[in-house]
Amino acid sequence: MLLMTASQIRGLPVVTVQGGEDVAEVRDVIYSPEAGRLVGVTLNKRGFLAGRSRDVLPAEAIHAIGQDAVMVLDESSLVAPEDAPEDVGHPATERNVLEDDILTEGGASLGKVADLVLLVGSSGEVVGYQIEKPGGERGYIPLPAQLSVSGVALVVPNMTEEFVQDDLVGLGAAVDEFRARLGLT
Amino acid sequence: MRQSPVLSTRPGCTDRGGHQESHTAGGGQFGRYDAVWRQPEAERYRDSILVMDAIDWLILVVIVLVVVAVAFVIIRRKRRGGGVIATKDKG
Repeated sequence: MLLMTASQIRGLPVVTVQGGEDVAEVRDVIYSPEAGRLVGVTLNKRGFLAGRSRDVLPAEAIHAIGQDAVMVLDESSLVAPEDAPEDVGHPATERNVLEDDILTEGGASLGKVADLVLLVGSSGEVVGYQIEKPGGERGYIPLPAQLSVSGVALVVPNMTEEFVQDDLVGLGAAVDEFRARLGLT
Repeated sequence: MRQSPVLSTRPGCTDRGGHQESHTAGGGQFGRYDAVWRQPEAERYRDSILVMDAIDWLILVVIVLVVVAVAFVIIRRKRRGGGVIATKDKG
């Protein structure tokens, strides 16, 4: 089990398994809070000053995500936006959750979203958020924790406060307990 | 002390006896030797102006390079972009 943050995935090269070619670079990480999984990534072209690529990479076309590269079978895995699922082909960029406020149902602030934590390998399960607490220190909350997500704020159940962890190891253990408490397992 | 005006700063001007010519009007405290002493001073002054010009240019070039580098980084970050995007709830 390898836990990685979205910021570690962003900027990784996309490499083909068959040719070993470096065909693109990860730009945005797109995930479904509802399903709790990665749904795809948008891409940058390769090159020092190259900009955004028109093609996208749906999660189904990802062979594996590792610490140093996102692997795809071949270049045909990168698809035009019209041929990709709507959420990946035309991502709602206004729903970027980084820097979103995290509020409990009771109205208490837990901090801001600093990053997304994913279980990588061949799956793209989203396990939690890295947060920046009001005091400035970092912490982690498990997912599914949010009741609603927008480009401005995440609203989470009151009990999420009990599950704020200081490190990724603690988050791994907290996820199962948190899901059991929510009756999801 | 009043400074003697310098009429000429040409180097190597000597009189028939091989002595350094005085080019001062009215003479200073050290008479004809004033011009000899003042000549290198004038050259130093001229050289210092040239040196200052070079430093000014250097500062200008450094400022331009820094501005270009910052603009380059900003443009690159903007082009590379990236975020974590949540899909809309289908439920």
